[in-house]
Amino acid sequence: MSPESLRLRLSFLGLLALIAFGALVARLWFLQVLSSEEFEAQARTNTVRVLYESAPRGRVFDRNGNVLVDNRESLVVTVDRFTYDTEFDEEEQEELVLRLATEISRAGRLTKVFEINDALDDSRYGPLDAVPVADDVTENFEIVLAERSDEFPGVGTVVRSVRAYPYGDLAAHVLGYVSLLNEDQYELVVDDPKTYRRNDEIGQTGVEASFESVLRGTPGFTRLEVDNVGDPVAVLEQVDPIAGADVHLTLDIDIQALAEKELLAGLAEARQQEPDEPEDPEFNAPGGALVVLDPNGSEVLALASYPTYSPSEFVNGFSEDRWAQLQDPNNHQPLHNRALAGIYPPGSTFKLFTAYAAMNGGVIGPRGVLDVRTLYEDVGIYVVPSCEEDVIASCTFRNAEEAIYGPVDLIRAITVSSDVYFYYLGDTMDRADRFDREGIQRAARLFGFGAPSGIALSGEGVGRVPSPSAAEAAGEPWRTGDSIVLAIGQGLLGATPLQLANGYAAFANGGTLYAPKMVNRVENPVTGEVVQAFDDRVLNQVYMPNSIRVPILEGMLGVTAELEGTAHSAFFGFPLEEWPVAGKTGTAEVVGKADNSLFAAFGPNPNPEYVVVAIMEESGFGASVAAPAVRRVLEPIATNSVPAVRTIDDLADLSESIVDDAAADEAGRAELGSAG
Amino acid sequence: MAVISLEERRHREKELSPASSHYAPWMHIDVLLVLAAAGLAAIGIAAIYSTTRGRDPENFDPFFLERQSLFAVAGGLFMVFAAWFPYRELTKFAVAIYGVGILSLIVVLGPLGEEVNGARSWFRFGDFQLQPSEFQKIAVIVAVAAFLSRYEEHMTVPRVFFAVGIVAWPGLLVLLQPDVGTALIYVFIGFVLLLIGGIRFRQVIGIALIATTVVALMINSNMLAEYQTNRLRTFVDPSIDITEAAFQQRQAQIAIGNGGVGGKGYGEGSQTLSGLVPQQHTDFIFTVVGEEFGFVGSATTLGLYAILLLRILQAARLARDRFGALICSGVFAMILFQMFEAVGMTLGITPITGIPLPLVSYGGSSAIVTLIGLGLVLNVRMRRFV
Repeated sequence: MSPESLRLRLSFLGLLALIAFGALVARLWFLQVLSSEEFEAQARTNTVRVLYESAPRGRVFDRNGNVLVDNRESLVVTVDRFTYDTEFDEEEQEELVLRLATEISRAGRLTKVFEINDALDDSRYGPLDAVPVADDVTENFEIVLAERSDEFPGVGTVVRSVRAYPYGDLAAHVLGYVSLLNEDQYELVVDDPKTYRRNDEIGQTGVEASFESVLRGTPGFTRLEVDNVGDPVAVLEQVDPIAGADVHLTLDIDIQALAEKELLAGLAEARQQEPDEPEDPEFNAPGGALVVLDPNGSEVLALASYPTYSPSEFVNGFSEDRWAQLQDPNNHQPLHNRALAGIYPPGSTFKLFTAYAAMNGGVIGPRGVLDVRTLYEDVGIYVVPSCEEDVIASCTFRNAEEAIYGPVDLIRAITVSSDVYFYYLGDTMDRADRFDREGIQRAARLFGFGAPSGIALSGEGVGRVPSPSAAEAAGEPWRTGDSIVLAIGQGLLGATPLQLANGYAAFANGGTLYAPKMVNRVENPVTGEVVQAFDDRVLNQVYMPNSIRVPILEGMLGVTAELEGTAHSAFFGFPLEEWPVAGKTGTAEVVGKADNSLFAAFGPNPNPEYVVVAIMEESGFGASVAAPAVRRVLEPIATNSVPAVRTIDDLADLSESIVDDAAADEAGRAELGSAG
Repeated sequence: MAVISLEERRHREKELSPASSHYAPWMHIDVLLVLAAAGLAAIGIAAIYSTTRGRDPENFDPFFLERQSLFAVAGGLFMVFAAWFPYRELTKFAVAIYGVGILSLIVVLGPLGEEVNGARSWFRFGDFQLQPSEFQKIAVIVAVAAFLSRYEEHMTVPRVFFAVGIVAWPGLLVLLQPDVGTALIYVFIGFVLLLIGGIRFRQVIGIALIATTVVALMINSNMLAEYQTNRLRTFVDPSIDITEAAFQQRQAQIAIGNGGVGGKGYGEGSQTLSGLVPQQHTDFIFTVVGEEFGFVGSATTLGLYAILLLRILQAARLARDRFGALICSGVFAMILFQMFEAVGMTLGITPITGIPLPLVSYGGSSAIVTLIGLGLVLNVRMRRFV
């Protein structure tokens, strides 16, 4: 080989080196000069690990200081993802999960292999996180783990604070539930000062959701400087968690329990009824609501909705199947709070407001078409005078059950629930030139219909008040027939049970429409200091002179007290002398289904302290189902004998002590026997 | 004045005063090469101390500092010996050196060998460990150089295969440890020696084809440990998994990027302080340089390597015989490959392998072997006239 060739080949070697150096320097330039800022930022967070310590959530109390929602500790098993991913092959991973599921189940908490695998795949956790794989594990597992830690590398336990419900499922719809936040919710709270993390819980419904910002504690954190294996070497900053504030509701858990019990019983009774005719729809009574308010401020004392659910089911999460079950319309949507979101035609319970509209508008009165005491002949059928079918929709309107009440004045019309009398009022207000066509609608809105009641709970229904102007806006015709059925609370009119109760409360207290109040105050859980107090919120002052109030009230008192009152039999034996109840039954027609049964009442008169409204779907007459249920709620209240509810723990103690007593008796007898 | 040839002049001068002559070996010691090597060793010692001294300022741990200083001094002595010993004599010992090396590579796989980090590569002597595969690099260089220097004309195919065989046997033994990185060094040394030794272009292609096939078969068979295939896969597609290798590579790049232009300052690198970069005093030592001395320090270090390699290439060009040129080329190949790989993997442009950065990484065997190699280069250069 010639020296030239050697030289050439050595130059090639030099070129190779040049390329190598070029590549290294170019990459160095990129890393250290061009993108150094980005890497510096990464390096800063790299050596710092932030450990969050979640803060206990605030508790929820009823008006008498009973704890309705509490916290308890749940032992959670975690698997360190880094160890799991890097130190095991697939076979070893399977073995570990199987062993884990076996031991956790053996320790008393049944856990399936796929549940652990699903948890390990949860994308909310990063590659270096400890992933929770099983909740509410018994302490026995901790012992197993301590004794055989070498069999469970990367497995640990943490204690998590979870929601506890001392009264079980009572007031589930009011209290709501908490569960892990979903992606959309995370986006909403990502900048919240109470730092949310992806695996945090958030109030989803009820008080838990509406008072999320109050109930949620501020998580504490420790910023640690860590070494390569994640062991802390120094504490950089430590901030203690701050517990969430306690919420004190206006709810009375004893009345709530009573309301739920009677709602359930009423629906069960409704289902016992047989349809009059075989072709009539059946009384399915799938759901209903029962609301108890204090009319002086519209404080919510009870808000019952059926069917209901168990908020404790959400504590550890549940399967998608269960979630689908809860959402399925065939199961009548147990998560749906009918008391404030269900929209129902109020039926005859609305006559109170039609009567008010007629009196306030002058239809009834000295210069009206009728005076209060003027008798009007109810012949069982109302025939619209000079009727043109297409203008009015229909020319004849009948009483329910083809009843004929004969001569009725306003008071008797309310007491016996004469539809014909109110048809006449509706027709008159619609057609007589000197009256405003929207008199009923305006009165309804004064009492809060067609607008959210303003209760501090989310998910409230708005309801509907149909009117000529609304129909016009929608391009629909408004016919006199629409006004006629509106007068008896039918047609397109829709109200939530809470709206109806609140309208009654405004009438009962003499004309003040309040926003229903759910929360009395928010307290600091440690100092007991009141953080936020809620005053009565007046929405509207309704003009309510005695000339209007007294006759209507008289008619409503007759409903329970008079022999011909629609709820007389339901209130037979009720101490009406000491605790006079004013009420109004409602039987609202629903196309293709059995009637909804309604009853609205307040007492004791003349200074009412309680308003009760019951609505029961597909349950028949208001008089035969809803009225008895309301009576059974009012009677213990009137006689001051509302039973005190026990917490689940109390019940457990009680049954234990009964068993103990029995055992003691047994022992005592045995002793006597041996002595004898 | 009579015109005399250069040869004649050299001859006369040699005759006149051999010891003080311009051509005496010690007059041609490459001072620049020695300085560059010393500079790199100093950077290495500083970086090793930074990453191994511990976190307690009151109580820094000088263990690695002291040992690496000892290795540098010992390596220096070996370098002097390697430079002093007339290199041409090595052709006589080439077979013996190679044989002893192969034997030690066999023995290390047995019960006498010690396993560290999953590779059975070490002999233990009290507090010191010896890595025979490191020393075998010199043995391979000397053996292949001795073999190729016997033939002045172009390579024949059987000779090429014989030379490949010299490289292949230790390569396979090292793969059994398993240590892919060192095996790759042998392959690169062998390739460069064949290139300088006069291999033909079509022979290069043939070897490349065979080598590709063998490597593909190796990766698909179970010869490589799982972590090694993972490393390769991670390099090909870093997003596949958070395996240890991807973690290491990311941490290394964060450390280097964190250095910026001027560096975080000596002993101030947060990645270095928190020990987030694995194997930082050995294979990933360059991350300390990158983080604490920044682009300036990294470029300076690469500059010292450039000087070193340039001087070795020059020594190869100046060498009096093919054997000398081949030895220098072999050492050049060894240092270039190790530097490129050990720096490149911290920058994320080469896959992770356990290759030390010559003169800088912690480790006695590596330091001593590199310095022996440089000693041989000095040897070739200073004996270019005799």
